[in-house]
Amino acid sequence: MEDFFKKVFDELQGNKKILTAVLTDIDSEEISQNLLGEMFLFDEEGIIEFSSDQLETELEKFFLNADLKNQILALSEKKNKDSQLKEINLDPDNKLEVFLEPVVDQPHLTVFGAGHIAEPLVKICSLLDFTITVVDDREEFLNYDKFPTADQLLLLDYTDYFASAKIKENDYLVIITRGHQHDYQVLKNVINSEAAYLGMIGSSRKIKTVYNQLRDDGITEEKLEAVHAPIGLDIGSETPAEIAVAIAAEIIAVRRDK
Amino acid sequence: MKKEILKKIIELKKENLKLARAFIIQAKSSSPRNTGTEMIISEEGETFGSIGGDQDEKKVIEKAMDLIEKGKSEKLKLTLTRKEAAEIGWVCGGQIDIFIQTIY
Repeated sequence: MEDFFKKVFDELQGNKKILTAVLTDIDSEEISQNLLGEMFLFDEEGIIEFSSDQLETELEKFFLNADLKNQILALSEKKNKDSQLKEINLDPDNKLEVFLEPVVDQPHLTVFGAGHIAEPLVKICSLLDFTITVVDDREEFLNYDKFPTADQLLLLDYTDYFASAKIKENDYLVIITRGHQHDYQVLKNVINSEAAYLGMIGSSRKIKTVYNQLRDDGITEEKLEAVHAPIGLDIGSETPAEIAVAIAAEIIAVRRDK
Repeated sequence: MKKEILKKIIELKKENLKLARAFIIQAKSSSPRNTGTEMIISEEGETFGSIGGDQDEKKVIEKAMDLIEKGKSEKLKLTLTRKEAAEIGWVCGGQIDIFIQTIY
């Protein structure tokens, strides 16, 4: 099974959406009970790897059945973001119960700008199972006294950050830098990324200015519309902590597909 | 499956250890977010990650070590009392199904 897990790990590096299914119950005369606990790895195009040759051999004949292929493809749909039990009908007499698990990096929040909203936002989001990075170019704002629950504090110019960063589909990005030129610079670098969430703070006037700059850079309207700006759910927030709650709530809503 | 768990499995397999991965596959009368919570148990009884709840975790570890020896994977059903459930942050008691997957 070691090779199987290595394969899963390699596929994960490829930035694709992948899932595993573990056989947790076998209701069949034709499938050996000792296959309980065996797994297969798949993506939206089909099965990539089986955890044992025996599993592959025993399932092989059922894969001639087109309906089974469709069932497995249906399992990789976007709504199956959370781990869950599912039933697979191999044919009318043979059923498998599988535990379906997306293979994921823990969702990661990157906060650009270590100002007064970042502080409560990092506190709240660390309660929500995010790993968290805060990026700012001002040393006096960036320390673990202010952000005791952050996983990583990066003292960098934003442009230097993007020289090496790779944004993935489980990244949540919050842009709350100290000024709109910085916000523009960050947004320009991430707007075409795969990020799950992209939010930027600012008055509607500032947002308009930034968007116009981005239009001049050739950014499409579709991309601009996907940005959460003004950031956060509209709950009438006034204080930094209240704004942080609104942002965190919006992030939860996106994560949970609401 | 979380990347950290995957990494841990690969790391432990390099040392030629037999392992089991235990994960919650179904939790009745609780929040669904517990489903998928996972932990690794080595043949020596070392653990990584947690599925929560001291008493239950002990049962899971014992069962896992037994299954590692037999080279089998199995479901384990646990019934939680109100107090046990409260300890792991559930509102009321209920049943959780855990699958123990032996990684040979």
